[in-house]
Amino acid sequence: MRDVLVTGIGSTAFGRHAGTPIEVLAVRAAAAALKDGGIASSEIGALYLGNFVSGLLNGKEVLAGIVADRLGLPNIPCTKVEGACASGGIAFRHAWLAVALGLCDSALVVGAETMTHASTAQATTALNCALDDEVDGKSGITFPGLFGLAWRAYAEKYGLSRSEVSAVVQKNKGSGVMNPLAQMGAVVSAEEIESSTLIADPLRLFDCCPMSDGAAAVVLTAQAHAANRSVRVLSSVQTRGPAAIGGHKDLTSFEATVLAAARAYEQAGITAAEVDVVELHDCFSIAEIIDSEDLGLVPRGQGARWALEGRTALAGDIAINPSGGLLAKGHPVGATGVGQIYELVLQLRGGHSNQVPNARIGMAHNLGGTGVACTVTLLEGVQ
Amino acid sequence: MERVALPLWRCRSCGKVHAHAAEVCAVCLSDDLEAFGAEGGGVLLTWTTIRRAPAKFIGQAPYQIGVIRLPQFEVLITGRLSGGEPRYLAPVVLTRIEQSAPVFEVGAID
Repeated sequence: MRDVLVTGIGSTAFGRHAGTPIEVLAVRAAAAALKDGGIASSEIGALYLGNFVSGLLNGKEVLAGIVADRLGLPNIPCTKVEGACASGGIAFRHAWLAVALGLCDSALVVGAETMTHASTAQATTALNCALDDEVDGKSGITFPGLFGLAWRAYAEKYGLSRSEVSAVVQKNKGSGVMNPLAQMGAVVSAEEIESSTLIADPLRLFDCCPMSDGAAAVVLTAQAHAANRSVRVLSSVQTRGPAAIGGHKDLTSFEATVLAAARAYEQAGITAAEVDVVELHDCFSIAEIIDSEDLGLVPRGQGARWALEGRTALAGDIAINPSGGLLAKGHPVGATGVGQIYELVLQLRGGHSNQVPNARIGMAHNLGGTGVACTVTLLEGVQ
Repeated sequence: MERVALPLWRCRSCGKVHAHAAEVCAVCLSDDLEAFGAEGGGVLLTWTTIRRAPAKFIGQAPYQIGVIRLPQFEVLITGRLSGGEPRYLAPVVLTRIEQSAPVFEVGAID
């Protein structure tokens, strides 16, 4: 395997882009990444595009080819990948594989989604395509519902107070205030969170990430061909977990995350204690608590307490989601995993608006469906 | 309280019980699976109330969904809940299958 560097990054803001077609957002992010890296379209040897429901919500498929055409890329393989909320992370992993294995010297990764034009019922129906409909979908479960189940399972096993979960929301919404790309940064009181509308008990509106439009892109280049050598990929891992809710032992942990993290640390030759900054998949407040434990960053059963004590904040033991995470930055599904890489590269270059001091190792965690697909990426800043 | 049997599938080759219909046994790949009706109740592990439903269920919201463990078969089932207030490890029985989703009734506190 060859060493691979992240040589260019680009992103649109996450939020509402009413009337802007998905391919336009994707092209904006991709062009920004090529310009950031000083890389010509002709140098790109493969394109991987992460997207979840453009067919269903926009009636648009073959997005990889459409975006490549508009960027003037060569006649290279252009592939759209789908893994529900992990689509972006999976696109990154495949581009990394192509470069690491020597199939090409530079690859472009794009993630894109538009969702805000759909009604809540349409969007909920589209997101539900990430469930096994024959097994779980027929009950009428939703993704907020899945995490409502996880919340109560976690509370029974470890104990969990509403204020501990609210601390996650307050931290991430607060971080979003400083992130120019974030959709919903805000200073929110516990009272506002705890009196917001119930969505899937005990989850309330503020516990849920918003519907978002947006696109993000990165360029990966083999070390020997890279001019900008500031950020290196230490490891990029993809795993699967149970496709059915009942396949999980107890919903207080996602097996795919645990496995992906263990393999990522092993391949990188580092431990969890060496990670300085993390962008993890906080699609719901309770998810951040579970993910932080599954990734080995926080001891099992203590994720909630660490959040309340500020130990996962920017100035804490381990900075989790300084971008604002999905809760505040937004969750344009296919773009999310690529957006996490964008945020980490800014951190490792030392230029983030919520900079973690002296950040050297960054971790991205992208989780799809009922924990059916997961990617974990470790990046190193080379100063 | 009316009870119905819960449809499960057993691999005739390795004996593994599966919670849903399958082409092949995910343990041994045998295609010799038999459907059977599981008698007896289960226990409630966790639950939620769906207040924002997908389009095809929108008229039914709010409704309760739980994860039920069937101790004798070591399987977990996602199903609708009816009856009493849900609580951890409450006994539940399957009372009907509605639009192919199992509906479990939460037993009263003894």
